[in-house]
Amino acid sequence: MSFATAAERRSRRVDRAATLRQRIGHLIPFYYWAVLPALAATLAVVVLPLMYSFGLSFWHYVLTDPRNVHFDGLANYAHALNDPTFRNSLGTTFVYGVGTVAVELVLGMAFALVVNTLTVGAGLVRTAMLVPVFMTPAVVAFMWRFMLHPDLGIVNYFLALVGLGHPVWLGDPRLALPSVMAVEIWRNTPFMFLVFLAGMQSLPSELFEAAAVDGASFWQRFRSLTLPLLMPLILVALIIRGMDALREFDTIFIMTGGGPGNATETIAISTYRYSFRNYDMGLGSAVSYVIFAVVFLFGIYFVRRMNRTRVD
Amino acid sequence: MHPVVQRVVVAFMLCWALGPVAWMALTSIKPDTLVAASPPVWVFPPTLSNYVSLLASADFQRYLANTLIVATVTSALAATIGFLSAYAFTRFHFRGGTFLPLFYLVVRMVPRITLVLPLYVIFTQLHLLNTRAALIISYTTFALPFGIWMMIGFLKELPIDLEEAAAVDGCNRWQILQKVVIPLAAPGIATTAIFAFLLGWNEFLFSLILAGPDSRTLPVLIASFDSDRGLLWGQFSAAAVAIMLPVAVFALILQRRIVSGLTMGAVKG
Amino acid sequence: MSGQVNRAIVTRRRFVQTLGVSAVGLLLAACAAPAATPAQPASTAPAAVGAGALSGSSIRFGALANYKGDALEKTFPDFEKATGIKVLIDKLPNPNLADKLTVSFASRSPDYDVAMMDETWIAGLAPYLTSVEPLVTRDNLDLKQYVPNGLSAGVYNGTRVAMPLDPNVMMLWYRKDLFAAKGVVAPATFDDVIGAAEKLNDPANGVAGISVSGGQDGQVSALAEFLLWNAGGEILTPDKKFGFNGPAGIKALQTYQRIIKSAPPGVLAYGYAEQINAFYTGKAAMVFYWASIGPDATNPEKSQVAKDVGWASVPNAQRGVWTLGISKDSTRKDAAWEWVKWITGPVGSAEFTQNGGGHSPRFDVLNSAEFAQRYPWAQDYQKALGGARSRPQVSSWNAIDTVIMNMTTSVLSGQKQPEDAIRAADQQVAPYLT
Repeated sequence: MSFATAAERRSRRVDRAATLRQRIGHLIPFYYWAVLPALAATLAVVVLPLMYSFGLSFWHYVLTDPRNVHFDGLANYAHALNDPTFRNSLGTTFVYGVGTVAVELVLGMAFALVVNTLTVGAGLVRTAMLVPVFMTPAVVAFMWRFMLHPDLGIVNYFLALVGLGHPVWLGDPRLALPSVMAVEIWRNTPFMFLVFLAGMQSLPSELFEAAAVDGASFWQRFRSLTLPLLMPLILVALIIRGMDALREFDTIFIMTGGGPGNATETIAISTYRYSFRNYDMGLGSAVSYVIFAVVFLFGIYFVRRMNRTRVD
Repeated sequence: MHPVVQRVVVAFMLCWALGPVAWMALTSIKPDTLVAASPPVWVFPPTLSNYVSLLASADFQRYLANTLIVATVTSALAATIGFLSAYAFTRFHFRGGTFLPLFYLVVRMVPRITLVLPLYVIFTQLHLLNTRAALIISYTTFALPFGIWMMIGFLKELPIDLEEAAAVDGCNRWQILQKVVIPLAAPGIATTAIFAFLLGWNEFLFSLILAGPDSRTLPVLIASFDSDRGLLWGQFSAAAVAIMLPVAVFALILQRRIVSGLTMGAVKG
Repeated sequence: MSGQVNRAIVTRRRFVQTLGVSAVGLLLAACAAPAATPAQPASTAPAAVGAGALSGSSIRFGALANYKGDALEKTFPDFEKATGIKVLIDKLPNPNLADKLTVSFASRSPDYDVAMMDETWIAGLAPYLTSVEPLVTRDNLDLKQYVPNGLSAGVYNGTRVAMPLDPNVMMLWYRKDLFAAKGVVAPATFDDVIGAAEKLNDPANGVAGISVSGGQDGQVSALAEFLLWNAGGEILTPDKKFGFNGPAGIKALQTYQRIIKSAPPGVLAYGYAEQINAFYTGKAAMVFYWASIGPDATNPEKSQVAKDVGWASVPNAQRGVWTLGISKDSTRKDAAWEWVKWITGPVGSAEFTQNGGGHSPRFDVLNSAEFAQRYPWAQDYQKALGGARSRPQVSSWNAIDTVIMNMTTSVLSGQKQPEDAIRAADQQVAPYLT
């Protein structure tokens, strides 16, 4: 070490940097082919079909009526936006999305707060909470349909024990949407819980100790420390869950099929109905593009919010 | 926090997560006439007949094999391809390096039902219908956005000095990846692999439309218990438990990794 | 700072990309527009092909994933022995078979050579099905052996495009013990049924008069349509108008409202599964449902009331025939036709019914001793099938049926009055009636 002068050391560092730049120079093509497989797959499997579907939305194309195929301009979109059931489904989707995500957020945060204070058993709870997240959505739907059955369901059995009557969960137009939302909340609160818990556990404990020493109560610590520090995480969770809730299909379809009447018909169910019940592919494409637009706008809004918070 | 509050909440959470599953498992070993009994019967002679008929059914065996293959390959492919992309995004500056991750985010927003008919047409033209390949290609693509974002989050946290040091020591790009990056990013890769596996395991609509008898996966089997003679709850419960079991075991073994991976990726990503 | 740059990039790139997507999409749509139906080839009588010549070939068969599919699968070895043709079956769950068939056949390169199809799907699939008339003539198939109400299910716009496999019809299943206890006679018409339901309705003891569906389920529209027929109406009038729009429609819905008063308390959430379950578990004295539940209703392992089950037929019951159609773009039409002939023939159909698959479209099987032993309600079934009514054959039937279902559930759940519901349904149905 002492043999090399400062100048020699400097020149060696410069040499090393040059060699590194050389290596990277040779490797520039690396990122092209590193990015290529994912991009190619996405273009082929998502973008191409999307473009086809987009084009299709301007045609009158009903699978069971092949002699009557013609270009229709914006007729499908006009039909969709003027259709009162579709407008109704936009409202239902909004209620569904906002309602489920809000409850999941609050509950998930509450669970995380409690489990964060545990000294033993946190691992067990975390493992258990993975179960709803992992279950096949179709299985979840059938399972809850069974449990919410007015006569055979276990839920009504317990309610009857407590004398709370015999509600027809999935058949009563006032109860159907809340029931379906409850199932979604059941499935996804654990996800929120896991995310928030890890977030809390990664926060520096000194801050909280100092605050406690200063006499701050549990709630004060939560409001002024935990919440602001976790805000970026909350936004990420909101985006992911929000987008998924807006596109949710399997569970609602199997549990109520959109009914009773149209009480639980979200835009995803509407799309299915147009595409696979009426076999109106043009209209189905138009409707799913409307969903895409809604989800996209929602996503962009939140991504910007997230970026803004990230900057500071 | 008050110990009583803690215990109540923990008990509530355990019931929340495991209650319905336990109920299904119980139902699956009930004899047929008791399945729909109300009030529910708690003590009964258990029977494994539902499981026996399920495991003996050729359909179940075939679907199980298909699902295992599809899910595993999807998982491996998604993890690899996604990792490569994420690595490129975080380590290099190039045109599209900021655009592409956002592009994948938008791709994730696409409702999958939009893609069914066009993909059916495309795969028909390519003679790939009723093949596991069609499913694998589709599912891998669906799993990529989430995986890429997850791993971007991870890789951003990894300091680049370690890689530079390795480069200086004479490693080429591959060796750097192998010795330095992949071991450190393992939780992220594992998480992506698990979620891709889950996607391949649970996907229903595409398996229904794109697959045929040689390639169909388990979730479609679940729907087949919905016959015009009524829902076969006993058999359905057994099938549901059977479908859940491999994934549950998988998750139990890797639960630490999953949780830390999922949340770290979300926190930093 | 990066946030702003990100936002800018997002907006600009997103805009450019959207433009690009739209342009390419419109272009794609223009050239990838669904091909017009190819001209019908001149129908020359197909050359007679001996079954032996087809030996070694295989056909792809799309079927239901349930006891019917299983029953069919069991007959394959005998079929292969008889003709040498191998059948490759793909079993799909009921709600999705229609979707798969439509998507598959419409793509003009179908997954199946022959498939099971519910008669209501035929109107929509007809453009993609082969006419079997030349084949019937060529092979001198004796159509008199088939129940007429089964055969007619396969005819669309005057052309026979499908053969009946398994005709189903709605029948009344009732508790002989409860009827005897209250001195009620077995009903002969549906008005008798309603009367009996009201007499037997005993909520205090947990037994309802009759079990029906009231939720989001095809059984609801089926019953509403049946009640319309019973009230003298037609689902679609000869001048293509919505048949519920009139006094018969109002009466039908009001009758339905009357019926659910004698139904189990949870009826508004009942789909077909809950409907029949209520009967099996003794919660209802009757169930008006398809004949296919007969084997389960009388099976002590499935039904708690098995030993007391009786059956009756009423006029105007709804018919639902499972048929077999051969795809127009299939390259193995002759082999597929051999399968259709065999499984709807005396040997195959008998085997199908003995395997528990369902009923038969043939007189000789229905009147046979083996059939009567396994299906004791054979005679009442034939009577019901003889007097059954069928739904209109229009390609938009699914959509119309859904409108009827929604109309009915909105009335049953109290959301609308019959007149308002019918008026709303009339508007919703209008685009599908052209």
